[in-house]
Amino acid sequence: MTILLSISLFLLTALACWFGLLLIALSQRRNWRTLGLDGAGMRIARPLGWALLVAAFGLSWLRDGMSFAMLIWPMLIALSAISIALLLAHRPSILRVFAKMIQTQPDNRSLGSPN
Amino acid sequence: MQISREFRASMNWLHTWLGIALSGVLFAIFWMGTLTVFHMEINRWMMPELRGGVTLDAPIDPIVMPIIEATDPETQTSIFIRRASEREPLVRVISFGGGERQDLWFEPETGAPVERTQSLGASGFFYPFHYSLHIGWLGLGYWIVGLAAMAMLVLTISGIFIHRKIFQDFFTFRPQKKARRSTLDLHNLTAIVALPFHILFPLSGVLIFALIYFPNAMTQAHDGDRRALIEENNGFYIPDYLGEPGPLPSSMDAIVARAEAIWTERDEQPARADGLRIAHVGDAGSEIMVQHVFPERKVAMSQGAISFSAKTDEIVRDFQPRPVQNVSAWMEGAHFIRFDSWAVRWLFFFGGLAGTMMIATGLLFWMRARMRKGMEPASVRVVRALTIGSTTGMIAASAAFLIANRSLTNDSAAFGLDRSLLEVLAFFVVWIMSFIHAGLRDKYAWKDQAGAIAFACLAAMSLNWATTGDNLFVSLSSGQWAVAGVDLALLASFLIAAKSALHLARVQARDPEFSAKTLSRAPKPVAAE
Repeated sequence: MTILLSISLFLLTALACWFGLLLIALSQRRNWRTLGLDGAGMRIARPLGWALLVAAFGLSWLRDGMSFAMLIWPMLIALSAISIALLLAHRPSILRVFAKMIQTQPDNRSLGSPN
Repeated sequence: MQISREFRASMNWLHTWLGIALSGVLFAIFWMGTLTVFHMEINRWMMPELRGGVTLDAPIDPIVMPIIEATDPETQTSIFIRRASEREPLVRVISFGGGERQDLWFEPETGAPVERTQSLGASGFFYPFHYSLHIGWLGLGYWIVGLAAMAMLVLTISGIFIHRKIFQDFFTFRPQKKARRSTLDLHNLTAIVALPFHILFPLSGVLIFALIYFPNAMTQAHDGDRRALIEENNGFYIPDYLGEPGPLPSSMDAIVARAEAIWTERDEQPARADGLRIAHVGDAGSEIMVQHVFPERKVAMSQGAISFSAKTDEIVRDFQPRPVQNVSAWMEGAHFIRFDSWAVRWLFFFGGLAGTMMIATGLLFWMRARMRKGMEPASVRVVRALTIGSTTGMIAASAAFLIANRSLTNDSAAFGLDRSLLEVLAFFVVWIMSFIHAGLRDKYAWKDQAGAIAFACLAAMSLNWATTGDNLFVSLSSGQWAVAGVDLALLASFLIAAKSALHLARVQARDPEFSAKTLSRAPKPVAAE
C-alpha cells in the first residue's frame, strides 16, 4: 500500500468516525436545542451515524488489519466525541451548518438560547 | 435490566472512596504512562547523541565481533545486542559476566562508540515510574501500581453503573454551568469516550506483571518453576554452561538474516529481528538467540525467538507462540506500543491525557462537593494541597526533570550524586515543594503552579535551543521529528498553562473572596449526580 493511499484511508476513517458521531449526537433532541434548531431530521441521524461508524471500522480494517483496527477505531471515536462535545459547548455555529444539511423540514425557527 | 437505587448508591460509595484513596497514585501512573508513549522520542530530546540519522541496514559484525573475540570464556559472559531502530538510532551492547556489567552504544554505520549523556532519560525514569513508582523496597512499587490498576478497573465498572445516561454523556459538556457541574461533565465525558482505553491499559498492565501479582496461579502448571513458564510463553531460556572452550560464532549478521528469512516466510510479511543474545560466549554450550519481540506490523508481541548453536550454526530451538497466547500477546503488545504505527501512538497519547483529566476532574468534583457540604476549612486546605501536589505538582516536577537534564553536564555532581541522580533529585524536590507550596498558598496555588508549569516549559524549550542549537525551526526543517515533537508538546503545555494561570488570576482578581464565600456556605444537601 502506498503512503498516499495509506494516509487517505486513515483520513477517510477519521472523517467517517467524526461524521458518524456527529450524526449520533444529532439524534438527541437536547443537542438540536443546543444548536438552536428544531429536531426535524433526528430520525435518520442515528442509523446513518451507526452506518458511518461501521464503515469507519471497515476502512480501518482494510488499512491496518483487524488487530490494529481494534485499537484505532475506538480511539478515533473517543477523539471525535470529545471534539464534538467541545464544539457543541464552545462553537455550536460550526455544527449548525451540518445539522441544517439533514434537517428534513427546513425552517429557521429558533428554540431559544441553548440549555 | 433495572438497576436498583440501593445498588447504584453502593456503587457510588465504592466509586467515590476508592477513587479518593487512589487518585493521587492513579494520576501519577497515568501521567507517567502518557509520557512513556513517547519515551524514545523524549530520550532523543534529552540525549543529543541520539538525534542523528537512522541506518537500519548496517551490519552489526564490525561492532559485535571484536567484543565477542575479546571475551574470556571462563567469565560466563552473556552479551545482549539491541539493533538500531527508527526510534532509537544506535546499536546497544550490554554484557554481563565475571561480576561486571558493561553498557555500550555504537553508531551503526561507522561502528564508532558513542559517549552517552549520563541521564536516565525518559526510558530510565518516566517509564519505570509508571509501573514501579521507583519504590524498589520489597517490590512495593509494583504492588501499589498493581493495586491501583485493579482499582481502576473497579472504578471504571462502578462508574458505568452510576451513570444513567451513558449515551447522552457522550456529548455533554456545559462550561457555562457552575464549576462543580462542568467539572463533573468533563469527568464523565473523558471517562466514557475513552472507556475501552481505561479498561485495556490497567488490565494489560496487570497481565504484564501477572507473574509478580499471581505467582502461584501462573506457575502452577510448571510446578512453581518460573523459568519453565517464561521459556514456554516467550521462548527465553538460559542454556547450560559446559565449562569447555568452544568455537566463536562466525557472523552475527548471517545468523540474523537466517532468522529473519524464516519469520518472513512464516508470516508472509517482512520481519526484522529486534535483538539477539549470545549466552556463555566462547563456551562449548554457547548459543545465539535471535529475538522477534516487537514486530513492526503486528500488535501482538513475542512473535519469535530462534536459537542457534555457536558451535555448529544449527538451529537448536525455534519458539513460536501458541494460538492460546494470542489474546494476551495482543493486549501486552497494545500496552507496549512498540509496533510501527504513529497513528496508534498519538491516539494512545490523547487517551492517556483523557485519563489524567478524568482523574483530576474526579478529584476536583469530590473536593467541590465536600466544600458545598460544609467541610472544615482546615480539611479543605489539606485536601486541596494534596490534589494540587498530585496533579499540577507532578506536571511541574516532570518539566523540572527536563530542565535539569538540559542544565547539567556529564561531570556535574553534588551531594554525592552524579548527573543522572541530580536530575531525579530535581524531580522529587519540585514535586515535594509543590505539596508544601499548595499547603501554604491554598486557593492561589492553582494559579501559581499553572504559571510555574508555563515558565518551566518555556525554560526547557529555551535550554534545549541553548545547549544543542536545535530550536523548533531547526528541528522541523531538518526533519528531527522526535525533537520537534517534544518541543511542540512543551510549547502547547506552555500555552495551556499560561492561559489557565491568566484565567485564574482574572477570576481571583474579580472576586478575591470567592473561596472564602464557598467555604462559609451553609451545608446543603447534595442531589444525586
